[in-house]
Amino acid sequence: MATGFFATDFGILILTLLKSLALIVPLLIGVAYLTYAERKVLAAVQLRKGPNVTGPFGLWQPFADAIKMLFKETIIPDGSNRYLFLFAPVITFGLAIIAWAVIPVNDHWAIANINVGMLYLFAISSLGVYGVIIAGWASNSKFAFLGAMRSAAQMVSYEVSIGLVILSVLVCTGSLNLNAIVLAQRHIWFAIPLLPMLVVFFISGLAETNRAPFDLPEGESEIVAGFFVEYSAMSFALFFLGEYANMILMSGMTTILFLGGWLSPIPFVPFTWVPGPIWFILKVAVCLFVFLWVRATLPRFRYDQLMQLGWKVFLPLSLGWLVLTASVLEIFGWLPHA
Amino acid sequence: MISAIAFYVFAAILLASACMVITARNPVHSVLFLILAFINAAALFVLAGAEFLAMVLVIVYVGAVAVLFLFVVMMLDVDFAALREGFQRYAPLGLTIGFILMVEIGLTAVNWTIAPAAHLAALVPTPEHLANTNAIGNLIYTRYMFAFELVALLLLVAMVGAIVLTHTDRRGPRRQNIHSQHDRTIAQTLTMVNMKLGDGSRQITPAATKAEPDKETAQ
Amino acid sequence: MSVTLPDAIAPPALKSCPPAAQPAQPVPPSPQATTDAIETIWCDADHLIRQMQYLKTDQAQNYRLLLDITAIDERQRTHRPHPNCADFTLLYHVLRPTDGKQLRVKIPLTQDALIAPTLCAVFPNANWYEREIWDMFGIRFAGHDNLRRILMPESWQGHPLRKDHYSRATERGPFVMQAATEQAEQYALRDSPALAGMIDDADDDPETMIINLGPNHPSLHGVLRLVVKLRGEEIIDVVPEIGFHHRGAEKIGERQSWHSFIPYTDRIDYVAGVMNNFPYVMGVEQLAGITVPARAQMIRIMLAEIFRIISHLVFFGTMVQDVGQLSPVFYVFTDRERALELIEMICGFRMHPSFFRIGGVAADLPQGWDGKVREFLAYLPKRLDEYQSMVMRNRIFKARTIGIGEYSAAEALDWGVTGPGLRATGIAFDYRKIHPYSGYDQLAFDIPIAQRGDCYNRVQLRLDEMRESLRIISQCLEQMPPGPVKSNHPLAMPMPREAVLHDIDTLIPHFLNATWGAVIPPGEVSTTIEATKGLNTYHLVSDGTTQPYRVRIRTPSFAHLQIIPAISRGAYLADLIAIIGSIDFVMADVDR
Repeated sequence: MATGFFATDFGILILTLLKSLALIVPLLIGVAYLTYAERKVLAAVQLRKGPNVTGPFGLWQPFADAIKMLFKETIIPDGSNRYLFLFAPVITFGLAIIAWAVIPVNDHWAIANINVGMLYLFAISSLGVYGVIIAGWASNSKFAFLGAMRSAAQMVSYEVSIGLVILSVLVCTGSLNLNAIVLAQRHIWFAIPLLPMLVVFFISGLAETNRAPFDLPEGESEIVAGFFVEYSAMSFALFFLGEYANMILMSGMTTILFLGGWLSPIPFVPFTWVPGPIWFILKVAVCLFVFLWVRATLPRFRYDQLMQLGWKVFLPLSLGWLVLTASVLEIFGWLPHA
Repeated sequence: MISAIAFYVFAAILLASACMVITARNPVHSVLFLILAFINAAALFVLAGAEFLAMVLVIVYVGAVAVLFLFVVMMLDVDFAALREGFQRYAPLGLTIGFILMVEIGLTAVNWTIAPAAHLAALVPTPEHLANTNAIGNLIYTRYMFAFELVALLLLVAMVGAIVLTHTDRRGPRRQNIHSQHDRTIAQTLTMVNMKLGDGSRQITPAATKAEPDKETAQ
Repeated sequence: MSVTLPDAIAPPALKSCPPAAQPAQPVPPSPQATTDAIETIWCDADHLIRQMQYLKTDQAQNYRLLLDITAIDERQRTHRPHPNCADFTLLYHVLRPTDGKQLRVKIPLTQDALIAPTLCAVFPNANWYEREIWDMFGIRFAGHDNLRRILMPESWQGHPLRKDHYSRATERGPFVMQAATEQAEQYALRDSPALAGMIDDADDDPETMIINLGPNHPSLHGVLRLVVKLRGEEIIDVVPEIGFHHRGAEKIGERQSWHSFIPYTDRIDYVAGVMNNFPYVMGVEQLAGITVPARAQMIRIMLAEIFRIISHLVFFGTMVQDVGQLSPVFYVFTDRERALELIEMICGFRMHPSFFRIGGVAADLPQGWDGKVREFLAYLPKRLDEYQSMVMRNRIFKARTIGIGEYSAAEALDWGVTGPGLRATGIAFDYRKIHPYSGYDQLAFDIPIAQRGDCYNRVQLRLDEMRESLRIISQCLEQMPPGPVKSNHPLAMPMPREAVLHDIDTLIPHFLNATWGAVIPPGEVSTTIEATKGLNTYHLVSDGTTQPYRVRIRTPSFAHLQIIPAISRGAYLADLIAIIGSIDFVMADVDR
């Protein structure tokens, strides 16, 4: 693939940096426009217009917001732990970005096509809780602390069922490599045989990203803004962007695990001509729309109800389905031997 | 070259943060340095070609264990003044135990010999044409099956023990049964009453609805 | 008795204590004649508890509901209602839920012994009323466990509703904020939970945490402050702190003319517009002996029911949003906008129409009003059906509200809960039916009654009440009688212009009415209506002048807030928000 300069150590470094840039810039633009899309979708559901003043159809709104956030004062509350307070949003946002290193948007189009890609994603998402609890603790505020406690318990709980769902996909593919997982869906998307797992995964994804109806850590009407109640300006913006980047990441994971990644949904000629990344983006967009749709529609769960759902419904369900999947594969001799 | 630089950087950070874990005054900072140490250890694993171990280290230790550490440290307001009072009292005992441990470690180190064939294994960390994930799986689920299952059982026992020890049967928040909530229909609790003018309040119950059909109509 | 009454009612039967509890009474309860038909008896402070106990528990009496407690500073009153009347009068207002019959018990107090026994043991909801009286009049209640100021700040000097307390800032010297004052005020805000009357059995429990919700919080519907003690997410105790929205409406009433106080009543419950005009003008009309023409009465009912819908819609939207459903509040506000357009068309104003006048309403209905109202009647039911399926059948909403914040009928009566909150517990008590006022007796409508008294019931009940209100409005539309919209009474209408220009005997009263305001005959009335949130009672005292001597505003929200601690203990923090949302209060209505 790479010859000459790009085969040297230094060249690989430069190439990786360039690749990262090529991914991160569109990603950040995507995050910015996801905030716009959310406001537009919510507005449409609520029979409003949404942002429509800044630029044509309000399209410059995200940039206006960004500029506003940049020029606001970062207020560090009295009695807070200054360094951790400023570090927490960086963790949240940074983790949401570095997870993308392994996501393939087309065949072998990933910055790092490593063979434990799925585990890497899982590891990164399990770290996401740190941004939240550090923010909650460093803010020295009871509301923030309560939000952080809720969030930590929620994210840790739903990771268990996410892990089991991922396992049931893995037994079907026999590989932890994301590229291989997508290619294993050439004949049939896992969304069809593993439909209940898709549902569990998506709902757990809502919980993992603290989105409605599991937005208890923010719990607007209860604990105001939860763990980032004390944040302002850019540090707030980083949390905000991190949340949206996580949504995109979760949609990307759903796409790769269940919706056939970059593969064309209809394997005929005119559709297979469409480049893979376009399909990938479209599928991610559909998932994101569902995220927003759910937010506009459902009330919020209560803390114990959420825990009950996670531990008493999703955990047995995904565990049972994992056993079922493995048994079916074993009985029919469909187990992949990688 | 780059991997060598990376190794030294990660190793240096690992050692530094490990030192910070025991010297940091704030226990929350200690836990955070511990996490940093874990992550750097994971990076070293990656450099050594053991990416599965690296990821599992992050998932289990950083993603789960350290979260609980952090939780405990944040929740419990540890009184360090009280802890330091005890320090004076227990210092002789602690020093004695520390000394014994040091001697033991020294004896072990002196008598340590490396198996003659070990250097061959070090050169070939994983079998050819086999990802290290599969290699680990092959070992754990075949040769070390019994030990592996035993460890799992041990963890289960520890978990059950922890739950038994900490579970208190306190009168908790009001319980609810979600199924009964979902099953309740509006007609079960709501009646439309055609009150007569000047008629006083009565306790309207579903039974009363049946008894006085002329006055009240169920919705 | 110096009050001369146009149609004095026969003195009611003498109330006495049950024989077993009957002590030697120095002053037996003695009746007082009043302008309204509400029985009023005088008692003395020593026998108060026993008297009230008797009224509450005796089968024949059965006055289960303590509607209101207030006081009157009688020191400047010229028309004393009763020989027992001293410097201050404590006024206990009880109500029999079985037939809506009301009774007033009055206790005379002299200036040098301003103390009465507390009634908290008999009626739990006396707690806040007694605190309010202490705050406003400086009357102490022996045995009250938390007799602190409730509406005014703790640092306030004097007791505002006393006649010798200034009512305007210009009546005292200029206020200068000293550094020391500021610091003291700041310090006063840090009151300890124990001071707030919080359960502190486990103060050293490291698992508990005290969290302060409000007075500025997204889901507390105004400036309410809740001091919450939590163990994890479980609520151990809640202490509501009110008074942040206090404007002294009752004090303002004492210096407005009878007529010019009407706009202030709009702002008592700003969500429900005319609902506070209603009892006030009814009270003044009763005092003055004015009969309201049928058309005006029908217009009043129609407006009241439109405002009932508006208020319930706001309640519904905000309640659902508190539980976390983001969209319905926008739909609901669209509907409310439609209703407000009706109000605007009829009244010219939207939220505070001040449309009711003494003796009628301000203006006749505009041309084409019926078409607009008909449009609205056709529009809303479909929307209500949508809310029914969108919210009430939502499983998460059900899980969040069914069985949450339950209280029984007995609890509701103990805490003075009225309106939908009481009807949600299975008690058919609607003042429009029990004691029809202003022509409600001519209209056919049903009362929804729920059984469980939980949040879900309270929400559902209001949805159904909106449907019934639509029924009432459609009947008003069909049956709207022709005729004048204002009584031709001299206290209600300006003198005919021809007569004013013609003779001096008309000119002088006209001049007086127009410049000073109408002189309302002396007397006392209590008028109660079924407002959107519960019973709204105005107790008006006229001393035969152009201004009210005392305006007492009993609002349902005040009573309803008191029940929050009782039903929140043991629930989760998220339930507290659902409970607050389902109770339906407006802070302006609480603090007045």
